[in-house]
Amino acid sequence: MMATRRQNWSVVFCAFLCLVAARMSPAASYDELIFDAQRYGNTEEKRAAKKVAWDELMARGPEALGEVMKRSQLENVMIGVLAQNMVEQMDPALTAPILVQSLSSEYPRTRKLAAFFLGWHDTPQYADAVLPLLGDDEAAGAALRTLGKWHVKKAVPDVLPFLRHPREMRRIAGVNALRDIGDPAVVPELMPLLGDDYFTVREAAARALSTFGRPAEHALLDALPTSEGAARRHIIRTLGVMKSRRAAKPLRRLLKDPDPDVRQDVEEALTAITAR
Amino acid sequence: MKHPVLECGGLTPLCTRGPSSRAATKRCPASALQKSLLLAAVIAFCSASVFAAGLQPILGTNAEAHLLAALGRLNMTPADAGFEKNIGKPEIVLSCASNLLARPLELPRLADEVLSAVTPSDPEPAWKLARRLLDLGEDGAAFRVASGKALGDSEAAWAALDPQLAQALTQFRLRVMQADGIRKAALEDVSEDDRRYVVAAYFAGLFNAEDYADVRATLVRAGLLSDDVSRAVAESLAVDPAPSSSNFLAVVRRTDLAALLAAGRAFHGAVLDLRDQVAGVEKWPTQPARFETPFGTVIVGTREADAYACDALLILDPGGDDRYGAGAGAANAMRGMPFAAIVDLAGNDRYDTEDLVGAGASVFGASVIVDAAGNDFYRAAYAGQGSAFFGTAWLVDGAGDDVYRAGGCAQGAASFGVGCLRDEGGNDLYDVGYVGQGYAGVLGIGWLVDVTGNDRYFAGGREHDYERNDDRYVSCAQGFAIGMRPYAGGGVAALVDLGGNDTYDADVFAQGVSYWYSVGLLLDVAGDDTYSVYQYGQGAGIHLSAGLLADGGGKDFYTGYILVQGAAHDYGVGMLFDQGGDDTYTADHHSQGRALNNAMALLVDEGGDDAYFARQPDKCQGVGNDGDKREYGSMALLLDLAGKDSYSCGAQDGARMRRPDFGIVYDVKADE
Repeated sequence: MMATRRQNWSVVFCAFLCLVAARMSPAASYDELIFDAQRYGNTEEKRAAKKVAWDELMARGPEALGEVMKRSQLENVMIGVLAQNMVEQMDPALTAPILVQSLSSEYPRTRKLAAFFLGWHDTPQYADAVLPLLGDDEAAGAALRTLGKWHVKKAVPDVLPFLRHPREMRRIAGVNALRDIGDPAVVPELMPLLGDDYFTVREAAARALSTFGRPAEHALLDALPTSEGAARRHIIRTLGVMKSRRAAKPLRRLLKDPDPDVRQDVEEALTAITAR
Repeated sequence: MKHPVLECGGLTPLCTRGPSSRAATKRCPASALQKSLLLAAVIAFCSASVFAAGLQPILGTNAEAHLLAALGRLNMTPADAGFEKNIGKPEIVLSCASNLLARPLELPRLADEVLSAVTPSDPEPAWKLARRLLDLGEDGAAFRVASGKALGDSEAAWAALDPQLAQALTQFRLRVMQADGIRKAALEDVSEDDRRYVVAAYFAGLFNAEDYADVRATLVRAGLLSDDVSRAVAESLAVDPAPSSSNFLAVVRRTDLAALLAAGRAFHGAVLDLRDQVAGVEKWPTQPARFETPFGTVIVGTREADAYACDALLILDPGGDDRYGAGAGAANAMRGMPFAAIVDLAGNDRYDTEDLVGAGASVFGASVIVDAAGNDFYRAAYAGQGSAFFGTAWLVDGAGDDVYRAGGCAQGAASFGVGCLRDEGGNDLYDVGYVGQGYAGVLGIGWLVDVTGNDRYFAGGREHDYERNDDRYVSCAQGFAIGMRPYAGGGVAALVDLGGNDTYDADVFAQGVSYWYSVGLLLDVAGDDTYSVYQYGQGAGIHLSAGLLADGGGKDFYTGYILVQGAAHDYGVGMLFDQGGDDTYTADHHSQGRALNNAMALLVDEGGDDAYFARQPDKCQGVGNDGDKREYGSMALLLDLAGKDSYSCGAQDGARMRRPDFGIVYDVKADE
């Protein structure tokens, strides 16, 4: 009895989907498709229409992404989510040219999203298109991230000023970009950020330094004796993270530091250094 | 947080022992002492108003000292909590909501202020705080509006009543005239079309007029044109929300909210004075008496069971088991009734309506219900029971075991105004479909205050949480505030329960939580309480917003699934404080001092033997998060300051366990 009822419902639902699909014929406009694809699915009908619209947009490929990006300046968070899902699921070789076109949009929000999405895939051949966005107040954070993920070494001189940017988030983005690019020449520029006002920046800088090997180890050991406050503890911790054997001796001298938090950090660092 | 009378003098001084708190038997970390003293001085200064009122701060000096020590272990200071979170650009935002993102540790202090203001039965402190939180000035000047109408139209009619009663009614009418003048000034730049536009947009969206024909019919019955409703539905479907949002906010800007609140306060004062003035009246009509005034009908009832189902400025009933139907107590300016009041002095009464604007609700007006005694039943199919939209609404229920049921936008709920439900006693049941029980939308103050009794709060069962948890319901209640993302921040919502063993039951978004530049608070002062929510709740800040749950003591149970129990997400601030008792915390993930996507989360349990259960302990209990593609951390703290405790993450008593990206489980053991 129940099985029969379930079968009946399945038939009805399939018929319903067919009706929706028929409405969303290949001739459906992008306005119609995007409307259904971003709509809140609080009824069976809307959810079915949403699925059909999504499938159709994906079938139309990069052109459909371009249409969504044209609307991405709207203050409708679901448009951004739609674009994000399409970028995640489409072939990067096909989506990257579309996103590059959006980098020159008149809308800051569109430029920002395009720069951000580009960094999800390894397409560094478009670095020259992204570099100018470092001067774009709205899109600079996304551009920093993307240039970092693409390891664009020539971006370093333009990234360095962001380490002194008044906005905490820009400083973080700058640090992360330099970490990803991986040029150890920036170590001296990163060191002052271990004493930043905010832990978010300090921790990002410490993490970046821990990836730079010997040059960072030298800089940290040189700074240790004269360092103070939060920076000093980050130096201790980072040397531990790097398992710096050369740090063991100077760190042991700090085991009698009056600050118990410093002593605790030193103990943890020494444990990490001496661990096999 | 303790009751001011029961726990007077129970403050926990720094590094001392005291009988009132097990936490006080804990020794402060010596390393933090100097910093603690400095911070304590700052906190003492900041909390001066709370100390003066005799209340114990939610974040007291002992907890503050340990918080400082925990931050120290993380190589942080309180200043680090101000990491960048205020990244939105709302056109309208309350200063308290945006400031809390930069100074999260002021959130408990704000909760202290709310508790202090709503605890007394005198509503004046609540009014003052509401205005301040809404960034409005004092409204004293508003009362100087000159009266412009003759008083004699109805005096002759009610002159036949008991002289004390007649005099009280005359006074009331004068005060209403003043309130009416203030209200008209508040709305002089807002046309009738404007009003219908925002009412249609708000309620059509809230009750889903797009999908339900009965809702559309209800909106028309409430005074809207069918074209208003059609336009609202059409605009809600637009892919680009900017034009309709711009139109809506333009009406908001043309409204003098300060004056609108002043009108509501004047009307509220008029009703309360009337109640006091008629308290000694012994001679009441034997048949309900009606009197027409320019502001609506005044009805004086009998000591017997009366039934009212009509629009009225005032229904004054001395007793009997009465029934209040459509129109009674509903201030709906769309239907020409901007002011509505009920004063019911005794009896087991029933308030029941199918209308959009139910008893104790206001739309572009002011509603006041005072029910002094009896076991009462309140039911509103839609809005009611202390619900305001562009206006004010107060419902005060005295003694008795009461039942409150509503569809939505009810039980202490407001947008662009103040909505308050205060229940003075009895074991009460609160049931709302969604949006209520301390709910605040844009420029809203929504407070539910229950003074005593073992109460049950339920929110849910109306709107599914589609596309996130299809089998769950959206609650948006029990201390929940929300803005109009991205254009406007929300208000300040609070559910305050001052005593009794209470049960809080909800699904998604409830119990001290907020979304987008808002503040949501649940403050339970005493009792053994049970909290249950599925997602987003129990002290949670979601998307650039702040939420807090504070429980003053007792053996409490906290149950949730995700983003609950001192949790925060996406530049949010979420906090849970429990000040004593053996408590049990249960969650699946992203909970118990868990900060997700560059947020700040804090759970502080000050006493008792507690258990922290998490199905995914690597995503709970003092764990931060690097924000995925943002690649920087959060601040996450779980502090347990006394007792023998158990943690799923493996922490032991006395732990200083650093957790990823960047958090800590900080436990103070008995002999420490």
